[in-house]
Amino acid sequence: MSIRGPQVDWLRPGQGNGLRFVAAIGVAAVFLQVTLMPRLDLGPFAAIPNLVVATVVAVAALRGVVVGATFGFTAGLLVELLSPGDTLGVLAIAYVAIGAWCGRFASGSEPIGRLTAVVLVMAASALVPIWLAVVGLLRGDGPPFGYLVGHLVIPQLVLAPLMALPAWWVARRLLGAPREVEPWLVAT
Amino acid sequence: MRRGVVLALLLISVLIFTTFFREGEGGFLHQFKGTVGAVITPVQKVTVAAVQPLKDGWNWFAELRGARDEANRLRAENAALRSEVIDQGLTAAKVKSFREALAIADDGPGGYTPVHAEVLGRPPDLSQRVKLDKGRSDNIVVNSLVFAPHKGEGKFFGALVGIVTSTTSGSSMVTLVTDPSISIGAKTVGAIKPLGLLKATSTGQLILDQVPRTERIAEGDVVVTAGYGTLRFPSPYPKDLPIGTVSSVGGQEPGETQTVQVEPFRDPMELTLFTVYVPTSPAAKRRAGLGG
Repeated sequence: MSIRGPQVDWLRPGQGNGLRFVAAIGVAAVFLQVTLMPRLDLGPFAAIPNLVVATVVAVAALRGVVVGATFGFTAGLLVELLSPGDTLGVLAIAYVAIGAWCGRFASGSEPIGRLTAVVLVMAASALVPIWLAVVGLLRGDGPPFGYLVGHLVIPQLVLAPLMALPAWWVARRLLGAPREVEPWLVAT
Repeated sequence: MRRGVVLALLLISVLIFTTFFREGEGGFLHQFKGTVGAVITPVQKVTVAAVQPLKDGWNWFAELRGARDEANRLRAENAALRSEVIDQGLTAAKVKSFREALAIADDGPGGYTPVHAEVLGRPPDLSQRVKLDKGRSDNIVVNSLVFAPHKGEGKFFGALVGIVTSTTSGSSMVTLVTDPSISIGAKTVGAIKPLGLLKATSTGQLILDQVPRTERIAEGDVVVTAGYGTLRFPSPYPKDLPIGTVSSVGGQEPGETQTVQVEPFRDPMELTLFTVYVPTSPAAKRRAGLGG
């Protein structure tokens, strides 16, 4: 009796656990986030579009809590390492929570669709500046409520669908159907 | 198991987060972040160069669309203008930025040499900092002054928008005057006494608080650096560098002091090109903490 599962081509999208594609999505998203996104001039929206949070939601929704949280942790840490700024670990906390929660949400019921993914990305994108403001408050320089909502949260809510749709499309194409991956089942 | 993994990741994140805040600028995590940041700098430079034509193309398209509207009123004149815009092609916006920067290059503070630098990146957090594409290899040092051109009364002049707070060989980090961590001794132009420390609130609004009510300050007054320090610890900012104008004076607060709000000449977060003034004279180097 063979203990090996069905033969899969790991480099073909939608085959196996797709963790190589998860890593590739993460690298691409972080790269674009620290190079291209800050250069985009989106008219009245001074905010930087958050592509990474869109990919964290997509990966978590398609691969579950553990992969989502691990992906969020790594991506958050990399973004902060590669960007100017005086924080480290703050985004990782937020993205671990987002990845874990989205993974749990997606595993609870029917497989989530594009529209639900967009709503999840909007919620997550709005939560990130709120979390950063809380950290700012703890450090003594948090923004006032009006500024937080008007200049940080609302622009992210508006920009989120623009990031969510391509991120969801790419993740869905590369990872295939939703499949929860647990650490003890990971083969590659 | 799932819960265990998530909790472990959260715990590691919190550990990194708190260690990073507790350790000083010379700590391991700060140094590691600096090293990794230096590695990505060349990649960011390539990306900036790759993205620039797209941005310039968009700007050109927007300018062309504006020119079409104007053509309805000034058709004849506009034909010449449009051909000029097309001649200048995709570099029009960049040329404009450089012209503005060059206009202030010779008007900087004495003892400093100008270096023009483009923005490579901005932070993901709420801090008001930018990373520039020039660093130690271009002689930029910590405490170099960062200016942006502002047009007033028909000509460009340089307005102080930040200060270099760290450098690598190929990049430098600028903390903008709108960041709460920066405070600058300031006064109104022509005044002898400094008004106090100009600081930014968390929304980027510049304020001078604890200003005596006896001070005669009016809306529109130009605010400049006071330049005061001690012989041993001079201010990194020479005196009389323009920062902004008074936008409102006082409020309803009781007491003998008042808060003065200052509007910077340029919103530094909107800019993509800065002029960095590198200290070269002994006095300027002393100000920058280089001994001189």
